[in-house]
Amino acid sequence: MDVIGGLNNFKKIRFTLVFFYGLFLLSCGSKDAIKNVNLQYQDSSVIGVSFESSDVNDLIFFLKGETKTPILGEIKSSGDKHHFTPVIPFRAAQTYEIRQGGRRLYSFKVKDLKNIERPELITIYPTKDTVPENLLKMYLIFSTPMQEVGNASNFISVFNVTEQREVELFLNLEKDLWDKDHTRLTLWLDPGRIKTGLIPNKLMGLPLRQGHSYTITVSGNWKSARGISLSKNYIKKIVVGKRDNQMPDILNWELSDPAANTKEALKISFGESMDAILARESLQIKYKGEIPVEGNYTLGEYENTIVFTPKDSWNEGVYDISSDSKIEDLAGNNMNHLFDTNNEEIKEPASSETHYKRSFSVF
Amino acid sequence: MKALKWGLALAGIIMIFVAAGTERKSKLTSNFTKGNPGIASMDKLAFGPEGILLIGDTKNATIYAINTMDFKEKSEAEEVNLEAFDQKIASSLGTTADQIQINDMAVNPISKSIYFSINIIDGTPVLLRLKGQEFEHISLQDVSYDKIELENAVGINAEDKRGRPLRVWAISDLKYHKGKVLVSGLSNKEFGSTFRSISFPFDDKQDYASLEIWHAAHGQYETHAPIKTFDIIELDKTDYLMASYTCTPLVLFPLDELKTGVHAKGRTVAELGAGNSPLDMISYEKEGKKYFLMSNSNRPVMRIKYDEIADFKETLTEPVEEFAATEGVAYDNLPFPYVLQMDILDDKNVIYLQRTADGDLVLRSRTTKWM
Repeated sequence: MDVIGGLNNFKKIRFTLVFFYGLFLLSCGSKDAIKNVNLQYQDSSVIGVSFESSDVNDLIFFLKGETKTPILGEIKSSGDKHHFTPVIPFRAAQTYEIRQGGRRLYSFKVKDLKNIERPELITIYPTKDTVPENLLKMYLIFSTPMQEVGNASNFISVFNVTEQREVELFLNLEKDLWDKDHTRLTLWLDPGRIKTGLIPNKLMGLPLRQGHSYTITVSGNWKSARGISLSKNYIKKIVVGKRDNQMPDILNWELSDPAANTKEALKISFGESMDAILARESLQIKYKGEIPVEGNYTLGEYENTIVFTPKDSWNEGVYDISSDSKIEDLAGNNMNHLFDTNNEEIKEPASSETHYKRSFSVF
Repeated sequence: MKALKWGLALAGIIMIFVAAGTERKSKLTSNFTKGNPGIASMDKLAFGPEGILLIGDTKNATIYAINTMDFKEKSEAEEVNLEAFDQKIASSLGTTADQIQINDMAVNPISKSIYFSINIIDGTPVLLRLKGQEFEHISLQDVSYDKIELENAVGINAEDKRGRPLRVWAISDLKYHKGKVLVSGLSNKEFGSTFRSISFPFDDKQDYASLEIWHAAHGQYETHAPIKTFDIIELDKTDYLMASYTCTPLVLFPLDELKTGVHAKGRTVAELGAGNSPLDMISYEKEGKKYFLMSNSNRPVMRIKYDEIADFKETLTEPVEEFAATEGVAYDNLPFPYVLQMDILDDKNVIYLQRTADGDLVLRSRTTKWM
């Protein structure tokens, strides 16, 4: 029995030796084929791989686990030294393989991301909780550029608390409306449902119902452009108030009274919440009708006000506030027309002025 | 002597042909420069003549014209049937499908090659061309190109010197038609849209059209509705812009009226229903008849017969009083839901990118005989 057992052990040892010999050959083969591999890091990605090999024919890079579709890139060679530049930098925490003739010669893993700040959703405009039933837009402002793939609708859900059901609130565009930095997203409530009389409005009614409350949840799975998720879910609760059927009128705005020879702020009160992005970009202060006054514009609480702090002291004399007519309230009503032009309450014809002016004196 | 005469004549003929060839080529690309155009985003693709690829860049608010040098003529395209298409693209870029987005697809009508503009999660734009079952990367590091910045829409404050960010007009569709690059855009701030007609080769001349559409259901003219996708249709020897809006009316505008300062009034020929956003529009011919296909966010691909549009002489100017789902020209729903991109592949086939019921993204060609 012992002998037989000994023979069995011998077979096991022989098999193990053959296995290790095979591994030895494979690893020798790898070392011979690919040597002195150097990953060229830029930020957290690898933009190129340098290596030495006597034969780069049919040498292909793959994402680990993939065997059919090779990674696109360019190999530049000088003798036995080669440099591979992928079309897109190798991504953090991913493992890649170099293959030749179906055989894996080398594999490498790109370092994981470290000390990267999580993105945050800084603000949701409008910031107030009560919105008109004909609210047209919302903006999400993020702390850092967000992912440029996928659709915002994958990360935003809206629940009608009053009716206890999930609803589709925002217009689903093929390509979302981001700013150039990809930190600000514009969300439209379906304009076809807001304009009274349009088929979508007739079939489905307004996106928001007066008296109802809603929760808008922004998923923590939403990632930044660097692939880091938001730190948590963000929830905004809104209550729907009455319809806004008034166009913003510069003559109805209230102005504070800054004193001459001071840098006192000029506070402009709109009397309603305005579209935060347009309000910041639509106003200009001018001296003697034409000289632009430099300074900072800061939105006040609930976007009801904007505060202008001049860079230099006020002079004595007459100033103008000039507003682009495109400034909008929360319902998309601008200075020229109501968003819902079909509304029967509007009596005046739409204007085509590009700017509206309001003078004030500084003493 | 006779031989010399023949020789000279032959040389003359060759020179004429060569001259004609270079003239034709240089006419469109003579303004092109060589280098890296510096494209920030590739949102929309369209082919012009001679393998010139037009790229709509929303971030830079610029249209680029790239000489792809992809001139080799091919009359018939190969059949395409690729599953897990997004994964395939992702693998070829060394990443996973959740890290990429296919922005647009365009077929070069000369070579029948299919081009794709891809976004990586960090916004890096990539241009790929399908070659058999694999992809080729079209590097834009050193290409022959021209570009034109989109001027801001009428109404922007020209006096604004405060360095405030200009309005961004997301390019919603882009097409080349008879020496013009046609571009529609959506605003990312105020509710509004633009439509531009730009001469090509670019000469800094851009026409803005103020488009007015009649909403049949609305009973009102509407100037601010945003165009989502469009195509060109010829009716009675006149070219029309056929525009589809975010709230899906189909509207015709005479192309020659789309000029700066002209307030073009559109003829609404169809209201195609609610809760839907059009995605893409193409036209094709089958058995001597012309058809339009429109893909949608929430509806299957719609097929509209050219004759139906041509025969629909009236405009929907009477307010729709009933809760009708659609009005105007008839259309057929084809059994293709969730078609994200479409283009004409060759004379007999279309190519489309579709999300199937099980979530797979497929790229398929299909004969127009069955469409």
